[in-house]
Amino acid sequence: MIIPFEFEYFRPSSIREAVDLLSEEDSIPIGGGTDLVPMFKDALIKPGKVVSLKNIPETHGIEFDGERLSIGSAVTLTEIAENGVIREHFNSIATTARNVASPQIRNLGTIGGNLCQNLRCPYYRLGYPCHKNGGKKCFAIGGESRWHSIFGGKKCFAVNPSDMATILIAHGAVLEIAGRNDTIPLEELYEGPGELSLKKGEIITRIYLERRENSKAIFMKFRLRGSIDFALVSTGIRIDFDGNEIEDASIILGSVYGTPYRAINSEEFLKGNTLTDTAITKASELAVEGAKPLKKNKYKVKIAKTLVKRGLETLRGG
Amino acid sequence: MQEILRKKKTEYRYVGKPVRRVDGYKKVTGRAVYTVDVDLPGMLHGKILRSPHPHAIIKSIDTSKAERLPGVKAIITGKDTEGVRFGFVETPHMPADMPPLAEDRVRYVGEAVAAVAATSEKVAVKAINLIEVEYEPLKAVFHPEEAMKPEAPAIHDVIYPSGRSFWQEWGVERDSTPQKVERNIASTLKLEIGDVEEGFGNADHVKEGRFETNVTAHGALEPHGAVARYSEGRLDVWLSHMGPYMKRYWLARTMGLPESHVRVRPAFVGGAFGGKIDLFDYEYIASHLSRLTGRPVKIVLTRREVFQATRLRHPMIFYIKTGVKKDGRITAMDIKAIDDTGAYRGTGPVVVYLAHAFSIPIYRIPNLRYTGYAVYTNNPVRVAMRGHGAPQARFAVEQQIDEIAEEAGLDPYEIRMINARERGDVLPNGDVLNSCGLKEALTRAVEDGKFLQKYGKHRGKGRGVGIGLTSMFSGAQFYPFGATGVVLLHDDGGATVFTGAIEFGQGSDTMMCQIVAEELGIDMERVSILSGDSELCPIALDNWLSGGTFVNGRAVQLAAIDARNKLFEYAAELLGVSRDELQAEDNVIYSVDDPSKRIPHEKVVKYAIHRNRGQQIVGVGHATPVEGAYWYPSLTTGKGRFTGAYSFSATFAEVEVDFETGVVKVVRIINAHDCGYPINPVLVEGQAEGQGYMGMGQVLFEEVIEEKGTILNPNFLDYLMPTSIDVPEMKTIHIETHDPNGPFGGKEVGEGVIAGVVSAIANAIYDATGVRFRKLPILPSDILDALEGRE
Repeated sequence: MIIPFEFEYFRPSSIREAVDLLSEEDSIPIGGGTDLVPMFKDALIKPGKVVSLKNIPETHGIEFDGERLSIGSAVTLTEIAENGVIREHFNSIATTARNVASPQIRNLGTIGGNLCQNLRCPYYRLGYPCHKNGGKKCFAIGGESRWHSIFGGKKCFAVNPSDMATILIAHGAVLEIAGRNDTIPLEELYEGPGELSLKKGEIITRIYLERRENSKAIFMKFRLRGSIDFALVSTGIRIDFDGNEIEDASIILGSVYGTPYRAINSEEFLKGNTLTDTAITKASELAVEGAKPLKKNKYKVKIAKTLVKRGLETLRGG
Repeated sequence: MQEILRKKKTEYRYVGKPVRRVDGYKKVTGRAVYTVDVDLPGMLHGKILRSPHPHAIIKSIDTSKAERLPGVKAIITGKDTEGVRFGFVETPHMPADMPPLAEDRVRYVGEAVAAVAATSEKVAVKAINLIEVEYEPLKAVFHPEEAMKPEAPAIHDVIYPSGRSFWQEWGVERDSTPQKVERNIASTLKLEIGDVEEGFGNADHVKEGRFETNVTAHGALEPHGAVARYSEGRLDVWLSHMGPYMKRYWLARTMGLPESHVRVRPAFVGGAFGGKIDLFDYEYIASHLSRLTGRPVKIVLTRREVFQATRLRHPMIFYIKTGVKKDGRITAMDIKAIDDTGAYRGTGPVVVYLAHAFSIPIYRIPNLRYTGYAVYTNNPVRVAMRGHGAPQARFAVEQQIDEIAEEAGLDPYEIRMINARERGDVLPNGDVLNSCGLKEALTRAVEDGKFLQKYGKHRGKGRGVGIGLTSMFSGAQFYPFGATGVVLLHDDGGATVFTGAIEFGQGSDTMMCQIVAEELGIDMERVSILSGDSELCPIALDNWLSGGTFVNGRAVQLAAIDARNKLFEYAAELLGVSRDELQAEDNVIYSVDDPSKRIPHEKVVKYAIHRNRGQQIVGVGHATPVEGAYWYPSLTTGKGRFTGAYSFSATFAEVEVDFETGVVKVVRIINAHDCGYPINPVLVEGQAEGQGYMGMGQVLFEEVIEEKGTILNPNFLDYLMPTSIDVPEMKTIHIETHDPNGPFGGKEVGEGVIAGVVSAIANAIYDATGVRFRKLPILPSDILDALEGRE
């Protein structure tokens, strides 16, 4: 299958050059292209200029100074999954990367691209005249909603499909963005379904996160097949302990809402608690409190609850 | 004819052995040329503009902008192909109904509306995007039971014959008549055996239920494609397909050419599973565009087109009522089947017949009523898919058998053993079970899976076992009605097999070479094969008819025997012995009585050519699906002989169900299969295992999600076929029954097993959950909903 339109392709070797190119009209950044190229083939987006971020030294490399982990935005998911330092100090992140897509896609796909990937909603991908395609309705409402948001939505009920976002937000990751002085929390990247807080010409260069003492984290993913699939529900959970007591908790659900979804009620409940059976059950119920499933995705509520429960049980166990 | 090879089964050198595939090297080294790889000088690329509407009138088509695009060589619409029709089914009373390009009306999303030939694929895509079509949408209907209501929109009105059908050409003395379609019913099958009401009157237990199966896709890795080269009144085509004869017939009919002027070439086929049988719009369009431009034209469909615009598995609804005596004997069964055949007839009338025909060899049912409807809807068109009606019917019947067994206090094994057919049974249509390993298969599967020890032990507690039975035909009387095999012996002692049978991944070529090597007593390496070329090869049943071994293999076996007989005539002359004492092995012909009298094959062939006026030895053999029958059974009454041999299988499945996520994990599948005799056990196991995971996919993952005729998951990311890591432990048990009419006793293996897998898993899920699921697929959401209802 061919890409049915012409575009210019750039491969800048400096941040400055990339920012200049991406400030131009009709330009788009590209990492591994595993999400974008199929969209080009379907002519869903038709940029005039495609700017690769893979040839910029600052977007590469994984560094760890004992306290802070730094990952370049063009680092591939395979590099993350196989990196010795990440596996030693942040194994849940390596596990998450290993659970994304298939080996071929992980070899190409970058962490920056994963965090910025587009929606998977079939109506959007098939070019239905929905909000995201310039139309006036969400076809999932009253239609096929098995993949969609269980926590409501405004105009669009598609979900953020990123696995990496859940675990990285749980770890308190921040982003370095070219042209900005301060880093921003990764969580603030997401404004709505398919909506990022990046302005035209802004690119993510690096992702940072801090190592914490007495902290445990886990990633859980629910999908029908053992490989390739996007999550129907995923969760990234991090718990900081003070002895047996929970000092801080972060529970982020993926693929259940237009942005990564913070289960704030269960986080609050867990703080100061210990991981008893009762507490775990309560926390898993609170994680889906207020869920408003659509006609065909009630099952996702139960699965989200189960994932949180099993995630917490595993963290308690080992 | 010297029929019997004087070898015992234990002395076979090549048949019955896991011989390596003859096409394996080319495939694993990337040298195999598939249709998508064919590239001819001056070749143009075609693209098809398809309807976005499920049902609409075409008010106008403006191609002027596209015509002005540089590189565009030809554009055609329905006006250029007016009156051209094709279809899988064409009988005197059911005319072919499908146009290659819509004329005044589109009836499904994906129907071809216009086509372009251009110098590159890119130009062709741009050109179709420049074609402007004005539609007036019509009311559409997507559910067959809705479509049968009087107030439903009529999808077809009167379907007129587009010429003489091949039934007429081959001697059926009935004129083709127009068909007035009522209530969107494409075909009706009605039959009754015995007295059903009396049968239910005699029953101690009666069970009724409604079952519904899903739309699934074949998922062949190679997309559908065609390269057509029309020149001097002859058409040369490379297609991705399952048998050249159906394709050749319809290309000849639609292009107005004699059959012999159409050459369907052999190409490697990247999977088919029933999805590449009948003529497709793009095959005709490529041929038409080639004739128009005088240049070869290639069309390869996108994956979305493969899903939306080729063919899918028939979803069926069954209303079933079964009656049994206290002891478990079935007294009566009443089945109503409703098939959603899509916007054109596809194989609708056939699947409705087959859902019955593949069931009847399994249980003895003294009183049976079967009513089946193939119904037009504005959904994509349906065709055969592995098992063609059997998985649908088995999903329903095998579950109801379990239900009624439970009510009668019998176990699922017991009730099946009481009712299962045996060798020698004569079916209501006259077919005879000359070989039948059904009970043995069932017993072996049950013993191997420890079914009786496990069944019901964890009912409703998340672990369960199930069994399912199935049967399948081995070729039927359909065009071209039989097979001829030719074996040519070379002067170096080698041989070439010529057969119209096509290799599409199932192992046909390898099986043929094994048969010939065995019969001639030469090494496998000395046998080459030329198969599936409609011009260079003698006819064979298209391999989608499941007669690849039983009919086509038999023809080749008889050809090899014929060649050997001729070889032995000359050898007897040269050795000075009687022909009857000769045997061939290890590339040498020798006397059994005096093994010192021996001569290599090559010397005999050289002698035949050199000293006998150029008589190169050519063996010829013939076979037909059913001796003494000439036509396919009636699709409206079910009467008439169907096939020469049925294969049988029993599946054991074990599952675990996670009640907190609704996930069903298949732990183990055991298929005990009676294919008569496994000529290549590894290929037979490959077929059984392939059907194991395909059947599992149909129950647990696979669902073509159609919404108002548009497929929402038309790609391999969103249409969920099991991956290698989802495949459970699988085991195949060979049940050898040696059908007297099959080559070395062999019969079908390619498509029956899946039906047993589907039903065994469904029954196992019941055992594990205590809930009966009557609709496919069975997804985590269904399990969770049902368990919630149970609580």
